[in-house]
Amino acid sequence: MCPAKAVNILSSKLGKSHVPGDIVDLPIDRAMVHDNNAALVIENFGKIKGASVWAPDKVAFFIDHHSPSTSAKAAKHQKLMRDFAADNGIKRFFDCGNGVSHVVMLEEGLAADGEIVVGTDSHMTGEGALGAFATGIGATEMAAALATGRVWLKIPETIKITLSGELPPGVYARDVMTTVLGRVGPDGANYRSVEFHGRAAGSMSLEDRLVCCVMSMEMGAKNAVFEQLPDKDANYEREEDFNVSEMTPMVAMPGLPTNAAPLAEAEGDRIRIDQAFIGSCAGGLLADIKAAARVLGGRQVAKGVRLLVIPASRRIYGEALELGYIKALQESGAIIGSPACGGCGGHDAGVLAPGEVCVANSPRNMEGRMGAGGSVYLASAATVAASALCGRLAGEARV
Amino acid sequence: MASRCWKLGDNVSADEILPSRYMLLTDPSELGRHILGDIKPGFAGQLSKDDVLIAGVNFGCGSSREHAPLALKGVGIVAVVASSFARIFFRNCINIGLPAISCPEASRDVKEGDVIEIELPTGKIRNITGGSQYTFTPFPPFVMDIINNSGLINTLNKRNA
Repeated sequence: MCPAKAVNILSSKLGKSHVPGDIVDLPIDRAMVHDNNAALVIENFGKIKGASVWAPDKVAFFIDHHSPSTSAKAAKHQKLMRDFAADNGIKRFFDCGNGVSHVVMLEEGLAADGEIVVGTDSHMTGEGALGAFATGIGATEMAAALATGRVWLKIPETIKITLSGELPPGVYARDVMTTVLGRVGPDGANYRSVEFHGRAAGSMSLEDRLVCCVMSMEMGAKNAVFEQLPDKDANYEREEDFNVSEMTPMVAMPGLPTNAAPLAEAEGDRIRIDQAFIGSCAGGLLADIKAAARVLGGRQVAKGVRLLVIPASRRIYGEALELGYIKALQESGAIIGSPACGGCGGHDAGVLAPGEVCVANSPRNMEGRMGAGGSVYLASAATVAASALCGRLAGEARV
Repeated sequence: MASRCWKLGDNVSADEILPSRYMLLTDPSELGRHILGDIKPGFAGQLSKDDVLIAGVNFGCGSSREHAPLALKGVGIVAVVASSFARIFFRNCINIGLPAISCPEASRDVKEGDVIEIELPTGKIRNITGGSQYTFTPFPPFVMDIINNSGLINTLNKRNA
């Protein structure tokens, strides 16, 4: 029996075999800080006597939550970041307009197989898509990590998630994850490493792997990885098998991303929507923009619905422009935003009024997330686009 | 120290503890005014100093925002007790010196309004109102160190002094 991938990565880093449950003090390969938490990180770093950044070339700063600056306060925090980066030799500074951290980290090769990557964002789990051990930490912990180049953690147990079969038409990685989340639950993977296996996992694009790794956070995962090696006999705490051939389009009802329901059932409730959102680390990818353009098919967004499309990176925006998706979306009445997390968390544009309803392919829908008193249904890009056409929650089969 | 208890359910997220729209604030007492505003409007105004939150499972799930435990500390809460904690929230509480105590017994039994006493070193919670006593696994020495020093930064500075 060989160790699970997370245990393997951590043991290799330490040059010593470890088992789940061991508390270890670990050197990190990369640290990511974004503008939503940077002010607290910098404030705490300043309180560490005699601190200097342990390895400026291993640090990446991102402005992606309030890009471009959404208020005077946001602008102040961003200036703090620029000044700190300049003072401490941090050259990997992804300023406004470059895109969402988790996407750009993968694009730029800043989360490679076997690396230990930490960041001030819970969706750091996304960076495991290429095999890194990537996990989120808080601002104070990041300040200490920047000064020391180390974090402590407990070696996790691993849940093996096997995705077998083949995705039916109309079913996407997002639907797969909503199904998985529905079974595993909001804390089903708490403190665990999640390892994806199986034929369907093996044939997933990098973008789809990113979606799966990001969304793993919503079941409490410490980290998520796609195992590059073929199926092996390893020490897993638990195994969950899913046959994607049997899956159907899904929706997460407001309140939690794990409130999974078949879309076909939810459609029956004829839920009127005010806003449709395509964007974020799990939803602003090229495949999402392509799907939205395809489903809209030259038709107009329904009256009374705002369709926001926020490409997740400058590179994705550029490709979408080249391929004609942006033009198609714009002609259908979509509102195109600049690369950023956008309104996923109500930080940026697209805040909801009380009583308004949004269907989105972003990661979260907790109460008040996109605006006090607003409700968010989570679904795939295809479902979001179809809903924008219909003016109510609907799947692409309806359009 | 006697603390009045407030009860929350399961899966209360960091997002709900401190809504995203307030994340541009960094001062704990300013943050504290907005805790749980979307699910319990006006909650912050009802609290007194030294109160304790008692939550269900997976407390603090979702976002990694340290603003959430900072806000709790900022409004005067001295400890959070839950059936279980989401991992990042747990670490954030400890790192800012806010005890986060896993005690399913207390989570089940304590009623809103009960007054309790928490004994960190021995792992005991005394329910003064209800009369019961609950136990929890005391923190390992390095975690107690961080709590006693009111957070990770102070602990680092002491260690390096």
